[in-house]
Amino acid sequence: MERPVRALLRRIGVGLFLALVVVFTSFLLVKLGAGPTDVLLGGPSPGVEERAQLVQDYGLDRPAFVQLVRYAIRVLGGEFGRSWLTSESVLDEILHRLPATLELMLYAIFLGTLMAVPTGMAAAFARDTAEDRTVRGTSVLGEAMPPFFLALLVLLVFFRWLDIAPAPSGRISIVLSPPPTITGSYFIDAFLMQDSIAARSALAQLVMPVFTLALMLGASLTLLVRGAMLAQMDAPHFVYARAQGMSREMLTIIALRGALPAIGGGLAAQSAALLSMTALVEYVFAWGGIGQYGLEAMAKADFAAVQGFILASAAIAATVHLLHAVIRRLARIRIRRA
Amino acid sequence: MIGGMLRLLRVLARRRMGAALALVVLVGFALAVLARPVAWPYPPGAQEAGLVLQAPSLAHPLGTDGNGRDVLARVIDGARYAFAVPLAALALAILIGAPLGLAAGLGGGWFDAFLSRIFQGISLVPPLLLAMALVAAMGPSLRHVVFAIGVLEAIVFARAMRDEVRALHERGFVEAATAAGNPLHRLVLVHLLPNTLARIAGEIPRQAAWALGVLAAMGFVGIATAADTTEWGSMIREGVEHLYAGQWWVVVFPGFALLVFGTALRVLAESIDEHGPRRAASGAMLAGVPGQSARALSPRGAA
Repeated sequence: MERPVRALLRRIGVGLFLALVVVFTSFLLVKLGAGPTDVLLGGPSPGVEERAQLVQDYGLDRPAFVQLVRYAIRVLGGEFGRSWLTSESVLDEILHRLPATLELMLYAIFLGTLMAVPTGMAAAFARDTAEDRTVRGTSVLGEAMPPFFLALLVLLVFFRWLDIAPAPSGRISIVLSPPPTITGSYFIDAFLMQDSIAARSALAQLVMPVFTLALMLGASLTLLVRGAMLAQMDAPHFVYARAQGMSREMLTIIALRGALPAIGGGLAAQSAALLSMTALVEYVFAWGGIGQYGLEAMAKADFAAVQGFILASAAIAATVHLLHAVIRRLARIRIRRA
Repeated sequence: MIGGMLRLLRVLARRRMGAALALVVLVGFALAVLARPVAWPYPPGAQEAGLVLQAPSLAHPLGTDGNGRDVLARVIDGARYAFAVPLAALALAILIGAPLGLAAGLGGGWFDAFLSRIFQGISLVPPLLLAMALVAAMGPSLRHVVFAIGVLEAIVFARAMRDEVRALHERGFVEAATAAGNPLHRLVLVHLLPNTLARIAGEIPRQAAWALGVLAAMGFVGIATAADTTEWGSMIREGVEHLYAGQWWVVVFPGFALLVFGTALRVLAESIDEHGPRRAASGAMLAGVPGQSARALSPRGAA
């Protein structure tokens, strides 16, 4: 029992340290900022009372170290401050917008994986042929594509030219009112309320941003899958299996099983990039998730909101890594039992 | 010099079409920037009131923008940013990152562990978003853009350097060189740095491509510079309202410039991955160094 407990304590210690680094980074953001902290957090023209309150809350009259400690205690206690633009609590605003972002990301991961795994595998089996080169070329092109430009191109073609897609006006048509919140996903909520008009509109709004993100994610995932498969296909057990004359299906299964951990790890590593892409795509489609919120806060110098957004992004990335670690651990236990 | 470049191109073309093409594209952009003032009649800033939002024509092959400025001249002028900002950021990143990574790799122990945890913590925040937040906080200026990108890319170079040095260390490389009587500076300059060069060089085009993307994203959101510039992201930002009205050229051409420039850099990166000198650390990277790039998982550079 001794060892697992110590390993767990160590893990918690590392986790805390990482959290502190993130909090410090977010603290530094405002400290590096052009202007006094109370102006950055309170807006360009805070009132005398507000300013005094900010100085009090953050201990701005104290040395920087004391400020950092106070800030860390506040943030770890879930107090992200108030946006001076909306005078709402930043944490509330982020939590309110989170489902919209998660919805986009989840669909994009699903669709992107669906595109990337077969394509990457086909390219790996056709190594160095014209087919392989085409897949790789397209993927590199996709990696170099700025997400906001792809979003605009998709809008140009499907909204402006073909006129088969709705305007980039958020998560539901502007003439409809959003369904009551159950899961936070307009489509699922409208579906649950059996409001078919709202559900159809929410779905129509989803198509373009999800398609854009899935293409972006799919491009880098395809290269990842191809690389992971090639690594497997060079392994002795695979060479042996091929020499045995196994069918293409069996060989695919063997290579894919071996490649799965690398693909999973790569997907987890891509989560930070996906979050960035989602933010930019949200911004183009006025999606109303945390990405659009964060980028707009940056453009409008609303730094309590920017800090909150940075902390929230780190929290999402940390959750993904944790999930990945748990899945890997479970998979390892299964392998040991088998 | 031109002869040398031709020879380099011939070698590249024999080994790999893509890399040669990518170099041609980059050199083409550079030549266009140099030639534009003499070769093209419209300066990027000149407004013509009567020529607002003209569709592409012979006089203005890429059309004119909402202020009656020639889009072609502006797209070419924008390449200056695409060269300068990533290059400056790379210089800063290597200057900070390489010594840090070297110290961590050589020193090992608590410093190495501490540094890698710090990097791990910072990397939890998506780097693009962190860079944008930094610039938003520091205020719109290209110097701030370079600083933010450089500091975040320094992490990449520090990690790469650390992994390479560590791998050499584990092979007894450092021990052997020290036992042979090499002083520290000789160990570093003669025995370690040349062996890490391949990896560092391979990172450069990829990080340049990343920097280009970050710069464009900042321009698009409108935090990179105070005034309106010919930086491609800012051009797209200004053009968005016209795009929805059907004047696509003000957005599509700067966007294509971004895409072509970025693709050229990434093709170079892929080509170095595939054909570059073998990396010292490729074995160590497979063993699962924390925070490694996904690409490092495959010995063939994942394509």
